Amino acid sequence: MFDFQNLFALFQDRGIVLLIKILLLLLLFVYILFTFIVINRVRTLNRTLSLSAARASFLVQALAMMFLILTVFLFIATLVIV
Amino acid sequence: MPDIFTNSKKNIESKPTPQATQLPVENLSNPPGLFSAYCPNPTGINFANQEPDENIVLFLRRHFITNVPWIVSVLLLLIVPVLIFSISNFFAISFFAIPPQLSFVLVSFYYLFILNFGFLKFINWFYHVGIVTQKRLVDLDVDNILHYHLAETEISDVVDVSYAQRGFFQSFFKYGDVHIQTQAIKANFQFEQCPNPGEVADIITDLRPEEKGEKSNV
Repeated sequence: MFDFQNLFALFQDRGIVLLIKILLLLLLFVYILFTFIVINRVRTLNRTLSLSAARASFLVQALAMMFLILTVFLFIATLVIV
Repeated sequence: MPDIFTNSKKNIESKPTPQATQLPVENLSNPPGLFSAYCPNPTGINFANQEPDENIVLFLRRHFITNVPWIVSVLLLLIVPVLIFSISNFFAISFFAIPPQLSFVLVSFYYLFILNFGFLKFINWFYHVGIVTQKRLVDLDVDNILHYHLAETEISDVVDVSYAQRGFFQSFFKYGDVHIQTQAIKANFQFEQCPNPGEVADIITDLRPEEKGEKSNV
């Protein structure tokens, strides 16, 4: 028989926080995959068009990498501090 | 007896032969900046399959003013959490009864999402380029991060070049679309929202072999 007591307990304060945490981790995981796609696409575009002037290609690639590092950092932070 | 037909060849021969148009020599070393949208004779730019003796005559992006809508959107979205927290503190209203650690992570995720949105918009603008060399036209269209399209055509295939400026902003900031019609079987080209469309159309037209006087020998 289904235990409704536990279901209601899930929607108490701690349960809601747990649900948000799981949802956030899932979103961040998908986001990490997306940033990988962005990095690969930037590499492809840099091969197609090399803008060595003003070190533009390097700068864009560094920014894409920075977003990946930030996302991984936030994933770990969500795991640890929440 | 009056002359019905007179040979006008002498008059034609007396006309000067069209000279091959050259771009200004003073712009021969011209490295484009990070936000350059119009750069004649650029240095420090290479593209895939570029031939050793092929020089880039013109490097184009969309006018920087076309980025203003998304920059304003990002700036407005960046101040939304600050506004919400300010209002909730001022009126002593608690919108979310969530632990401070979780709210920190949520706000961080929000900011990361907004900044990444801005970065992707910047990439779309940055790599959406048109390149004119003395041999061909290259059009790299990046509509979004998951879709890009590269097209190129020989200068000799260009049939007609025209440009259009529509609306207040395009007239005020002097940018517009350059349409390049190629031979029927090939797709037509378009450099969207590029600065100085009249000059761009003029440069491409001058690069055509017909304009360089190769047809005048026929």
